[in-house]
Amino acid sequence: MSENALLQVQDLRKLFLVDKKPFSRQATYLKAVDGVSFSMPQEEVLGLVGESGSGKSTVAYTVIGMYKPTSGKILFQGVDISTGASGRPLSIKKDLQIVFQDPGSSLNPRRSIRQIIERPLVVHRMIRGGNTRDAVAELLEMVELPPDYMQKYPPYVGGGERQLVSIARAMASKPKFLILDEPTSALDVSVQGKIINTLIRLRREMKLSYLFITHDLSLMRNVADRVAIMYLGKICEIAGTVEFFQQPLHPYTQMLLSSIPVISDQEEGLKPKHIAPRGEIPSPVNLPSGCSFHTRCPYVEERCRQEDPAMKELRPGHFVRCHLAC
Amino acid sequence: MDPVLSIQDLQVWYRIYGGYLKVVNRISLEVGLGEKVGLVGETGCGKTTTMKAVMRLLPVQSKVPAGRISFERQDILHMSNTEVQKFRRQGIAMIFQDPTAALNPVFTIGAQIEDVIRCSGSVKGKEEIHKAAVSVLENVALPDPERILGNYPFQLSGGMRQRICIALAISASRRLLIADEPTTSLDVTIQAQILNLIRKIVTERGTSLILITHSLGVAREMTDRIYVMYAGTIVETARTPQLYANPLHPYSVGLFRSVPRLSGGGFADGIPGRIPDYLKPPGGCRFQPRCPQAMPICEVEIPGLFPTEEGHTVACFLYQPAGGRQ
Repeated sequence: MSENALLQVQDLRKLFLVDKKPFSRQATYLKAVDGVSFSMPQEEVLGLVGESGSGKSTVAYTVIGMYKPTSGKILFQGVDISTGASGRPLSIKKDLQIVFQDPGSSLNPRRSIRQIIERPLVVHRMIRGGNTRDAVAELLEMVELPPDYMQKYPPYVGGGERQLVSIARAMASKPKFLILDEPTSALDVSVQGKIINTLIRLRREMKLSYLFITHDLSLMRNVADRVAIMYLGKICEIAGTVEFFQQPLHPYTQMLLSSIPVISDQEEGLKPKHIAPRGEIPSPVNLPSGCSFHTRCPYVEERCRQEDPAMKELRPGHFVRCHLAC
Repeated sequence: MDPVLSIQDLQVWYRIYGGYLKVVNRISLEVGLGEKVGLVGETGCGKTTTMKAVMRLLPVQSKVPAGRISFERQDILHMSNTEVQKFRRQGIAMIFQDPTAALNPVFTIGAQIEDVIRCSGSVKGKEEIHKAAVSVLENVALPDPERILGNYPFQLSGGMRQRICIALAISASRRLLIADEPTTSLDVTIQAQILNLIRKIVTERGTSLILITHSLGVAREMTDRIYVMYAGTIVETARTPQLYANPLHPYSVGLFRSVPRLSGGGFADGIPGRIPDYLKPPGGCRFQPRCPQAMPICEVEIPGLFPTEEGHTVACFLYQPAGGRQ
């Protein structure tokens, strides 16, 4: 873990109470995040990829402060923020912002776009005096929307434009770090490009870091500097993007990569040896013993059923959680 | 040979407060025996509406002002209710996008499957029907069919529910299977399994398939021939390899450019603008307001389907043969 990391997550755990009988000590927990550690330097895009139920959104919500971690540490610029949002100073909240998946439900339909974008400007005291108009127009311009969108209401603009509004809202407090929680998965491909390219441009211009949560590996190939794969609350592989796609080492990564439908023979050739996917992700309430992937792994051995593998650095910067990878 | 399904000049309108939404606009398509056809397009382009017209599932506030749909020479649009029921039992089956909404939550899986088998009339007797239901579940590779028959839909995962829907669709032998985004709500590893299952069943039984999807990758893996739809019109049709090697319509070109590739290298901003207002669709070509290559003629005339090579036709004046221009 480097000294100058912007964000450091150490052994993060988040459990949710599922069921507890009255007067009983026995309780069932859902282990959404089960020991996740990673660190992000300044100006990095880390892609956090996983299937539904892998805990990737829970990691994001814990970092942003919507959940309080059960255990583990989150450090932002060296400051411990492993409290919920209420325990954080405003200056940290200003630097850490989030864009949600569905702009239809993350933007208040009864507020005009101007009101939506001006709120963080007021809260974080980004403007002097009462005139927010110019500041809002500037933010809209940043995402290439015309200033007359200010008077509009979210339901009356298209899905892609709505997502640009929520990016503008997140950018209002001039953050250093943005969490992008599947920002394009509710949108069509023909509008996805615009959103992603805007995000790439903003990152370059404003020197931002992104924690980019998605289930789309092809997208990450084009956007991320590093990719981390999550499975059942744990990171099972993390590596630089080029290395990750050339030499995926974890069997789950190989299975994911070989199941992606692609649109050309050239891309078909880039996939790892085909592993026919089988089974489904087990319930995070009853985690399998040993390696959590052993129920679906084609190379499973006796050791995998009993012993949970530790994270190993097999190549410089390439970490894998698997007994068999080498 | 006669096509199994043929749609000619179909129009579908929906009545709303301000008039009629002219959603499907003069669509013609054909599906041959044993052929796997893809219907590709983005949200709101009328793919599902077209297939609902085929299944006679359109809501009451819709009307079909023109067109003809024939399935094995029967005229679907003019069938009586009893004929429609018979045709749904024996002719075409449909797999819907959301398996949670497609299954009845208050009946067990067994009750729902046995009901379908009983209605098809091929098997008689309580025990025989139960046996048939078990074998149907075995066909879709569900483990422990006896237990699943006693379960309710909420007790199963999304992937298992979609397998049940496929089981329902194939429980009586049909000549045509319509799969409406069968994997959109599923994870990529589950998607690969479901697609393999559909491909296997269709190939083994010689059933024709219409696959509705917005994913170009899925369409490439699954189909022989593709219709690209935009705003209720078919803009391009070609054999699958032809289309992926050489998309011609400006909309298809834009769509292909917006897909993130596994090979990296970034992607285009997508297609500016959004789909037209169906209440007042633009005159001429419906894509013309967003088209980078629009010409004066595009605003006035609706382009026909111009053939460019064997099996490849494009609805765009750019590909009008020189002689036809006068």
